[in-house]
Amino acid sequence: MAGYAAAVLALIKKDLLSEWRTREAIGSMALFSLLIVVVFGFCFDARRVDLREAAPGMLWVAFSFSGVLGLNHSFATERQRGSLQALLLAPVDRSAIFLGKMLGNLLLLSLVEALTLPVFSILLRVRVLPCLPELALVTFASTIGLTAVGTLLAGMASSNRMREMLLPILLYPIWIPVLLAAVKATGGVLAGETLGQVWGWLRLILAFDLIFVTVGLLLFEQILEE
Amino acid sequence: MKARPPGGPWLAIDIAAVVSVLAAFLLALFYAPTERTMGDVQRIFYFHVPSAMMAFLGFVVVMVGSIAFLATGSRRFDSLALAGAEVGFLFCTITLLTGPVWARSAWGVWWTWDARLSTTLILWLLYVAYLMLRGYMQGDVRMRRFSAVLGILGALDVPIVYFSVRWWRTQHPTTFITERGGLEPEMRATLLLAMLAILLLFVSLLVRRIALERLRAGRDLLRMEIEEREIAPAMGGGSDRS
Repeated sequence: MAGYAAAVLALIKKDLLSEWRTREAIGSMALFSLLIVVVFGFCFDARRVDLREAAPGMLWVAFSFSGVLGLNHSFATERQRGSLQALLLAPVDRSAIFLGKMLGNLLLLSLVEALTLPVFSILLRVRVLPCLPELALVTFASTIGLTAVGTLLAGMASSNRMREMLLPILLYPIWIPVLLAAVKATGGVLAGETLGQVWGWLRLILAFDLIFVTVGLLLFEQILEE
Repeated sequence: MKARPPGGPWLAIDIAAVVSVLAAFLLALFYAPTERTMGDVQRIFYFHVPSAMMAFLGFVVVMVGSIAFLATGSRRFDSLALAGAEVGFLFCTITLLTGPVWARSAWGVWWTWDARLSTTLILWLLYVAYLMLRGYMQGDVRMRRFSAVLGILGALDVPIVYFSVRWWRTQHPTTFITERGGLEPEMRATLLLAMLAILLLFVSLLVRRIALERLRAGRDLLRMEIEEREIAPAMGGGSDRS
């Protein structure tokens, strides 16, 4: 058990360290996320239209789009450098590799979300400070589900030369329920509701997380074998 | 390995499917009474509802085939999953095409975001994703395993989609189906026959699609054998006559 945790931690550390040295993914993900918010700002003029109704949806479009970008990157570099083969030689359970990659992606996407939020709040004139803890919790819980499915499918898509095209097509149909729940819960929280009032949606998000993290742990082995 | 098209009882199912679909068609048009408020357009219901059922049954087949393939590694189960996806995709498309025609005259809109409609649409997208993954990965040894993983993910996703959309749209429009208590006996008989007909058609298409996949596997083996024979003489050895 201690060995398992150490392996997972080592994997997270490896991914974050290599990201810290290159800063390839975080920069483009955060910038892309920001660009989407800016595009929404222009397309739906924030001075004339009240965006509070649509804002949660825009936020999740930005998060999920930059998530696809990051997920594509997380396995593309592994395949290009051939380091995936090296990972397979490591004497650890395959599910530990899944957990390590997934948590690495989760931390990265959470960081991008944290960077996007202030810009989103200022440009689209949505007040986020009063409900920040609730918003953070809802966002983090939903991001777990996104990255669980995302890590599994990105591992699959990365083996194909069409990966950039393939990944979003595979991801979005499966992401739909957690995105829907995230948008509704975010909307509720932004409107001043308590966590208890959005509990129905939060419960759906947690169920989604539980199901797809479990499936990921069980099936990741099938993705890795050559 | 000899692969032959399925005969005997399977041929009987093919014939029964064709005959019963034609019979259901005639019953739906001439035997079933005209619905009082919706008129003749309601007759599309006799094919729309069974098709929708087969669309969902198709993904159950995908899931069963996918799990069995991952557990055993037998190519037969992969063919089952693939056949389920292609036939299910067909019926899902039929459902999505016939639904709006009916909805337009019954509800006045082509589309509404209610739980059943939305889930069917997501189901269709899942079928597309599954078939596209197989298309992109053609010739890759990992194709069968990867598509099995996607098949399982998709099958788990469909019920979650249904519940989330039902929650999202708490007051969905009541449809004709929920008021089934008042279905005329002639309507009920027509619907039952149509359901049987579409089920037979589903099974018949599924069996034929699996058989086609087996023929293709046989062809691949033969092609490999021929290539070996062509290469052997060129290498300066082996028998060039057989």
